[in-house]
Amino acid sequence: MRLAEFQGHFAAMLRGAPADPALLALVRGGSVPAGNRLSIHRNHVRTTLTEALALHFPVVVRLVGASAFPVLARRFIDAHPPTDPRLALYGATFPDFLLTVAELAALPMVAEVAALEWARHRAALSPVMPPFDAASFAAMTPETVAALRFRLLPGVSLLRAAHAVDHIWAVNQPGRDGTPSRHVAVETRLVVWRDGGGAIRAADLDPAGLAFLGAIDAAGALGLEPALAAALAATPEADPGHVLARPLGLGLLCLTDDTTLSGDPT
Amino acid sequence: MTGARTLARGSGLRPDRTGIGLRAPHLAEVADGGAVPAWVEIHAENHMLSGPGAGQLDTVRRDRPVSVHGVGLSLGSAGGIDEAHLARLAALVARIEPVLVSEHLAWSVEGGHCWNDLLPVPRTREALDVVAANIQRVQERLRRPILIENPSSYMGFAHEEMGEGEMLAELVRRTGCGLLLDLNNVVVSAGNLGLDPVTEVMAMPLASVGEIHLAGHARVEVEGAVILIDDHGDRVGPAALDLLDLVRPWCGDAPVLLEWDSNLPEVDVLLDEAARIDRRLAASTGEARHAAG
Repeated sequence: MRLAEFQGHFAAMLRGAPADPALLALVRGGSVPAGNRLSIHRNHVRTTLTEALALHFPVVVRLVGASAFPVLARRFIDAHPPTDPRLALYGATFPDFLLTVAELAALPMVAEVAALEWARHRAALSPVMPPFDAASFAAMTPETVAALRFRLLPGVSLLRAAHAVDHIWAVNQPGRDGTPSRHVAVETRLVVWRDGGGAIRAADLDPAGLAFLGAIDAAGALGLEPALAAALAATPEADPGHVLARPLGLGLLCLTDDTTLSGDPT
Repeated sequence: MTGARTLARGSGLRPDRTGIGLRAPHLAEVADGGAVPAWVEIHAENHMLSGPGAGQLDTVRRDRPVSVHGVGLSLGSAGGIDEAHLARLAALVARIEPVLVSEHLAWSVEGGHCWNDLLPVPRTREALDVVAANIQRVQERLRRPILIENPSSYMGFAHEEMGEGEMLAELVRRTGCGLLLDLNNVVVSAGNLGLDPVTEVMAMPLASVGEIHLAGHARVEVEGAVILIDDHGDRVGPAALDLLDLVRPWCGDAPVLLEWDSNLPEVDVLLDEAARIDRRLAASTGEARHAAG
């Protein structure tokens, strides 16, 4: 059997298919049956990927229970094997997968909390980059400001949820019993990021703030004028100064490489 | 002496001081100087994202030798090396300037999926050609020789055309790579395939060993038969230490590294185990001198 064919059969087995008879016929090794020997690799793959998901989504583990989580993980792993050798990146599509799980239809907050956990994980892994801050902005001429193109700082995520996912997350941290102290069926808009001190943070956004950052996120890089226009479209009475000041104060923005401070008179 | 034997020359590595595999839970302690291993080895794929941990790794590298051990390059893939992943490895190697770079005689990538395992390469002449070409591509991109680790095996294949030592020796000859001799893997493979570990290890290209790995393994029972699982979850077993005594005279000054991954204890336990290996190395070196004198 050629190597490519062998690897195709082996990978199909890892994805959950029964081992191909041609592959089984090749396997050698004493008294342990061929299928059991192949299962050593399949079990290792499933176990380590399940552990990786549990590490990335500890609150989901708590919400669904330690016995149900491996069942969900197994279904996800078989349907969505890793496509990157860096295990830390595995699970980006797990929140979307949870939305499709029939048994969780009555618990929509599980997928929403998963999205928050992935946003926090992604923020923790993102490159270190200094944000563009309010002091830099204040020193600029209007012409310079007009030419700026903003990006979200690496690792910044925007979330919308039908539940207070940040509160659910907080009460499910180690040492807490998971009981919410307030009503959780509340529409929530969050920004998640890593601050300059290395802490992963989540903050509420108003509709204008979410629209402003969402427009930049959707475009990849955007000038101030169209970003503010998006904020005002969401909330016509919003104060543009406030809309801009909040993300600058939190350190959520950076500039694209082609908009430097070279025109800055300071 | 082969080129591979001299890979670590001038690196600060010492043949009498066992290093440890450095895992995420111990990174900060080693970076801060709270734990002082002689040298460390990192898994490449755990350090390819430039988050805040990158600064800690840079500090570790400043203070002691670091080796980069890849687990996801898939040298045995019939489809060739993933150039994007190779570029990530090259960037890490350029940043860390490791004393050694190593990978496995294994595959993990197929059809766009990346399996988090070291999967078996049937030892055929076709596979030899594939792995040799992939090693050459990696060495060309990194502009340095790498070490190839003998895998832990759970099965053989009916169409195999050569033994493990023979295949590794041919890879060394064709590509100029060195051997990362994992003695625990020799014990595990021999146990699982009914082979003699001494015969297996002596068939390896020992003159080209650039590094030695030691680790513990687990014994599990499958339908009445014992299978050895290479879980790196315990202290080094006596069989692997006996092999260390055996191969030491053939492996020159190749540095020794302790791997520990599952059931990872406090770093002090790893340093204690590394010190135990050091004592074993000193004793076997002393015996060799005594015998020579």
